[in-house]
Amino acid sequence: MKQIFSKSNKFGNNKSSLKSVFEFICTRNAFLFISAFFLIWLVTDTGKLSVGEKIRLNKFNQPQEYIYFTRFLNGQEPFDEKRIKEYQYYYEQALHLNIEKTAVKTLLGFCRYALEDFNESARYFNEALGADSKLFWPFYNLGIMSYQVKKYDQAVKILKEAVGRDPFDTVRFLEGSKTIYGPILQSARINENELIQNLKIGYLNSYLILTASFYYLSDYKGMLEASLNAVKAKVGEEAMFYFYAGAASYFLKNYPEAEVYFSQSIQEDHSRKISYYYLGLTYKALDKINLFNSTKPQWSDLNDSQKNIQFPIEKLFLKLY
Amino acid sequence: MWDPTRETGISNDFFLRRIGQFNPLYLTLIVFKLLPLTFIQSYLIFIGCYFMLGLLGYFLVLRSLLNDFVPAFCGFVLLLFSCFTAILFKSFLIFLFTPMIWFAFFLIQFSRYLEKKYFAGLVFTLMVILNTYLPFYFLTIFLIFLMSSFVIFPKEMLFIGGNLLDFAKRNKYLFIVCLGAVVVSLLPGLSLFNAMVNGDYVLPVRQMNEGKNALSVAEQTLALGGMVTGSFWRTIFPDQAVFTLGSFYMPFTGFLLMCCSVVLRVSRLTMFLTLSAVIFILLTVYDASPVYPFLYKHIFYFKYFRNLQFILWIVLFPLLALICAQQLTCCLNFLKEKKSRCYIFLAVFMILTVLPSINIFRNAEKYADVSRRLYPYRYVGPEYLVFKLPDPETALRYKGEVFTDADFIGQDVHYPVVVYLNTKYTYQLIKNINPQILDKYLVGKLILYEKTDEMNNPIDSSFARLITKEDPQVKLTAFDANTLKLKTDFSSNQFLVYNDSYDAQWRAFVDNKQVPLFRSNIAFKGIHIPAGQHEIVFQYRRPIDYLNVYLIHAVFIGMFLYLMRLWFFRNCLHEKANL
Repeated sequence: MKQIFSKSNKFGNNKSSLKSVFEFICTRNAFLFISAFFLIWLVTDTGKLSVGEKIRLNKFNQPQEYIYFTRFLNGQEPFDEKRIKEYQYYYEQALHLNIEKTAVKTLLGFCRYALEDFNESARYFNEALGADSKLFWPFYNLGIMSYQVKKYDQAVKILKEAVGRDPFDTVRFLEGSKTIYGPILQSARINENELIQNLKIGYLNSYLILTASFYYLSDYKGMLEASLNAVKAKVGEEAMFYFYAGAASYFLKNYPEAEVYFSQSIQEDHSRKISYYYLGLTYKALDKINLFNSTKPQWSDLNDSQKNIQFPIEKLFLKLY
Repeated sequence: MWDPTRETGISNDFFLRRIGQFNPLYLTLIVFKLLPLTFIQSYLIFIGCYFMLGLLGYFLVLRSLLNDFVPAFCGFVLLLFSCFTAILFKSFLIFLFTPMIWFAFFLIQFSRYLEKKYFAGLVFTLMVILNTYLPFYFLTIFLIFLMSSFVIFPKEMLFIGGNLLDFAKRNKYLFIVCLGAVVVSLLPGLSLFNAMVNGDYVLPVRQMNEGKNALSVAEQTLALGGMVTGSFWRTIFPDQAVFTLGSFYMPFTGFLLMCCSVVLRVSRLTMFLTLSAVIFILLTVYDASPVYPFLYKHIFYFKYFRNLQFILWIVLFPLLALICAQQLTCCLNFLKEKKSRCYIFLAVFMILTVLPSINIFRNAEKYADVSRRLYPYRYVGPEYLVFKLPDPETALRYKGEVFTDADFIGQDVHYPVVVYLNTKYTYQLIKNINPQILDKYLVGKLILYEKTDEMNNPIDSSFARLITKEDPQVKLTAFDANTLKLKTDFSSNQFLVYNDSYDAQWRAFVDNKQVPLFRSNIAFKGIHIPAGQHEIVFQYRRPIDYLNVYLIHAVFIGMFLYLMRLWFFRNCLHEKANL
């Protein structure tokens, strides 16, 4: 034992020296091991470690399958409260375990919506956005929910945010969510290209609802801006958005601009009778009666209800990916 | 090289990479096979010996580091009776552990003595490692040790580096040949990587994204079931009958040694080992520490391997046992004053280590059972590699089952399939087809289509005729894993579909003349066969590919023999280079 403590003899001869005490402590294995342990403890998120432990101990079991869930999401399965509640229970467990909180909250928002608990649903979507404001789908879902209860000003505010998101942030998020979104995407057999395609449709719908909300708010400047932004964003359906831009200009009584947009709408899609009808009205407002008459054959078979401005958004449903 | 019995036929390269088929030590299996033993018995004997070879290497590493037999032996015993033994026996990582530990031994010895035999050993073990699966485990472990060495032993490392350069200058030719051999050992891995990059294969279970390199894996997370360090403290003394990947059992004498050593003065070796252990732990807790996410994002090769927790088993246990043994060295200093004390200590240590841990070996059968259940050995028996053609009655029934294009493609229904490895096209097929339809379709191994010119819908089985056992126009002349030979005698031109996965490396010959091989019926092979008598051959890969395999084998065997010669037969066994 003498040999072991040989180095500490100096310390014995100079007990009063704090430096020696410090040196003695710092040069012991105990200090090294405790430092190593402390470093690991400091750098490691112990909460995540416990998640792994609980999973391994089978305290947290994933649902057997996601086929119903993904098909329900796509509107291919009817609502089944019991099954939706199973998923809700699972995601609540995941939330409790701090697993991919943002993804979990998005899915809980969806489950609550399906169960018609709209306040809770909105709360979860908002919390998801609080954790990651780069995501598109929670904004989109909140926008749809606002639109459905006719809170158009709120829908406008939210959807403006939605269309401002970088879609690739959402793609990265979805692909990175291995525990929560991973099994769903795998079950739905969605690959990266399809995620991007779905996002494109989501952006198109967002612009559409945004345009409609402006219309119902009688904010035609906003409507014009939203429709032109949709064309600029190349989300598709250019003929439709040119038509809305034309309609907004028409309501703003900016007839020359309306003429241009309606003509572009017709150029994109020759079969859009409503575009011909409003182009005719624009010609009439511009006193171009001959041109007005020339458009008549294209829209003469439209009935009164078909002459109203309509937005094809009746079947909109929340989306998760 | 091609396994027609797995899925609907698949290249075996991926699985061969896991074991590193060029390791010359596997040739001992042939010797065992010459004895009246089954292949499984031969394999079990081999794997046991291979594991013990690894442990012998570990003992030698300890002895060379600690310069003392007793603590080295104690470290060896600690490792043998930890759950390292049980876990490693269940995993293919045993094929990595043994060469890695010998690599460490040769590296230590070479850095000290700069002898050719150690250099040859270093190169040989490196070749074996590079030839296994993905050498990224090794690369990561090696780089972490290297980094720790530079932190703790900077001067020594520079000195060793200088010596290595001197050695390379003095043994230019040996160095170049060895470098060439190392490059050769990389070729099989690069070839597999290339095939995976091309998207010929898919690994849906682990693949990050379909369509990308099949070897690329998603970022691992603890929540996805990665190694659970959180349960570490609860499994220090687990039930030895139920070891899992989360278990972390080390005989308590190891911890006793650690506790006793806390008052000892820190040595640089302890610092080196502790630093390395800390880095390994931080790396293997995945997203619970920023280390792994950072490396995944910035170091390319981290995107190509997963299950980092295996590093814990192949490194952390040996490292812990080494730390314990190193502490023991210090403790033994005072015991050595009297030899009798030393013997008493060893006896007590052995009893306390071995007896409480003996269940590890008593339960070995259980682990073997798990392996047998999960990975049954199916390459024996009358069913393996038999080319089964249906009988005429089956063919008649088959004719009644009219499959159409719609059965195969364009459906909105995705069938739940669990596929580990498959060809791209077969995977596309099986996830879009009703499994029962596919099973029925695959009853026909060879299908003939007569109206090849008019056919718009080649899948339509109403056009098809199944080749049966008794078919007068088609005779099977030879079949093995990589070849199918037929003799045909048709009255008109035919299109033959061979229901084995299409792969661009298959080739087809009619009367020894290569003919175009078509991907047919979505995922299979097909060729045009003219009327009259012909000899048809389907062949996997070109002769030069096989020659390459033999050449690589030759390089490995040559390197092994050179190492053996240096080690056992040369006078210069103790030849030391001039420093």
